[in-house]
Amino acid sequence: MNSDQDKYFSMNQPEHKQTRSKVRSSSWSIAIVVFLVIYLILQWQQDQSDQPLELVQNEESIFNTGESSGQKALPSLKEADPQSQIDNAKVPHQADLKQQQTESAASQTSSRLVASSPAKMKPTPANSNRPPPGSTSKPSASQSQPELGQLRDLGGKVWESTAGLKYGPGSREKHRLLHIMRHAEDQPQRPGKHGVFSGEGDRKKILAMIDEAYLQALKGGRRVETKQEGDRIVYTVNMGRSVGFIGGQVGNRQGKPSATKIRLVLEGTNVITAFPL
Amino acid sequence: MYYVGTCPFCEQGSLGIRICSKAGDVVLLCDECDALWLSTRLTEKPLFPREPDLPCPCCPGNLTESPSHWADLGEIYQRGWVAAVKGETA
Repeated sequence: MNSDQDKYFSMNQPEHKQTRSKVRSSSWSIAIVVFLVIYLILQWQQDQSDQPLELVQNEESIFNTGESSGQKALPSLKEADPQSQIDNAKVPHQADLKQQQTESAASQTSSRLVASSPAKMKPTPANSNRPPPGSTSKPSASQSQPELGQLRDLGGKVWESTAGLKYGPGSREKHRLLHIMRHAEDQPQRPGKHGVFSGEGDRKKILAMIDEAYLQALKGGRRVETKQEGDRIVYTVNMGRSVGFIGGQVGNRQGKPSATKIRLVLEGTNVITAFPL
Repeated sequence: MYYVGTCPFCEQGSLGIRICSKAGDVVLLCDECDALWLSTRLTEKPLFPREPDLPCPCCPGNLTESPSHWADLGEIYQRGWVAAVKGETA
């Protein structure tokens, strides 16, 4: 019996070994599959967590740069005359400027973040309210052009126009803006000529024409005549259209002829006077 | 304001006769562009006093603050500039 049993066991032993090796190999393959699955899950989770981290980092950087430089670079636009009505069209304009600034700051900071050390990054949940990059509506070329004739307060009673002309204290009227507005209406008794801007006395329209003439003067060309005397520079710009009429004693004698030129008298970017010619 | 002509620099303003705030110096001042002449010879190059206070080129006074003022006919006569006057603005 013992010998039979031995025989039996000795005959069955290879079969046991086969079964054990099969079990081992299958358990290994299961372990590898489980490991692979865990690895893939971890990889996927890491990819998911990396994306919002980058966005949040960008947002934090925007706010930081906004405090340090952005807000200084974009001072609030104000009206020169507090009594004048607030231009509603200016509000979206300011929003556009801020959006442009934020976008440029975002691109700058994100490029900076690439170089920064990853140790500084804090993982945060993916709860950013920023729209996906594709959905961001970029302002068109016409929207990005600021409206001419707008003024912003530089302090010290100095106002800067959209084109960069500065209006400060001076003249008999005590301020250049008031002096310019003398040319908003005719002075029939004034000796000689008195240029009168079209635009029905609307200061914004007048300043927009002056800005336009100044930009044309900076460009130069056949339509621009320039005369310089020390710090003073006189631009006479042919606007190619009527920008007002010639008033004063001479203009009234001639039947108020149309004016197609604007003369700018400047000291650097400081306006001394401007009038139609 | 008594004036002696149109400003040859800006070709728009009237050249008024201005008396400074300190020594009573008399100058020609453009009421449009603040160009300044020390005499009635307008062929000379103008001066451009510093804005906005327009200091007098002859004394420490200026041409903006009181008691600087547009000259009246008596003051113009005293300085011998009456012959240059073309008229008076309103």
